[in-house]
Amino acid sequence: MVATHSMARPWQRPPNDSAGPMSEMKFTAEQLPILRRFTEVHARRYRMNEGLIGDLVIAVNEIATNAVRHGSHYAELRMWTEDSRVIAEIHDSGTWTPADTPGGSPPPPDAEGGMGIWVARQICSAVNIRTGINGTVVRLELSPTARYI
Amino acid sequence: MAALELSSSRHGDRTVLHVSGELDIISRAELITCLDKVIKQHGGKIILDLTGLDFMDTSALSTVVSYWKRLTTTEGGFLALAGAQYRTSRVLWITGLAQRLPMYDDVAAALADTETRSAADDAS
Repeated sequence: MVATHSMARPWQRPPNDSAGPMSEMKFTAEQLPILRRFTEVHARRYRMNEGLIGDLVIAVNEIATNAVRHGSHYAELRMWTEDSRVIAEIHDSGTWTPADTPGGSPPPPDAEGGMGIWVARQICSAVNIRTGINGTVVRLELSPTARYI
Repeated sequence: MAALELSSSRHGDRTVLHVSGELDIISRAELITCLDKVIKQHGGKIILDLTGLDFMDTSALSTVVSYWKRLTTTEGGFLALAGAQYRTSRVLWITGLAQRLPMYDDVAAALADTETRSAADDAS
């Protein structure tokens, strides 16, 4: 999925009629453990497959870590179900100029960092990055049944 | 703060560092402090016991990789991982590092294997 630059509102379109209730949490780096717990609890509430909950937590944590490490002090997670998929969007107010496909290739064998987006891409059915003057939104989609790796 | 517990035990010239709780971008600082202390006091032959670890992110993994490289290439030591549970080994497999880092099912297996290695080193 190619990163798009946009002047539009940083959040993706609001959930449509098929979307379930939205779970939201603002967080800092220190609150990442609480964010992981939050993600797990809400995923369970969505009746997500137990094996996939761990994967969702990994993906959300990686993107959330990038958000508070490189983006802004506070970031926000919004999560909901839509057409039986789980959508998690992580928003920070930092702007960046991503490569054409950030995390599109595997980390080099001696990588000591920068593996977050790659890992999220291996786990999720879709990863979409939008960045503009209002910040950056990374949207993760997980299909409830598919296992990609 | 992620709850992280660290304790160590000595086995000959090797140190087993028991890591339990959660390792992330914040708590990995404690692991770094602890590893530096262990290496300074007891040398660089280290087994990380991950049996009690519930979560590990790629920033913590990067830390592990950097110590593994340092200890194996410049300080005559090693860094092995033991007892990683499904939840923590998953990130190791996704990144491909499970095939590169020395990994053992449990501490006993890691100790047995590295003992052989130490003995072989002594004999040579």
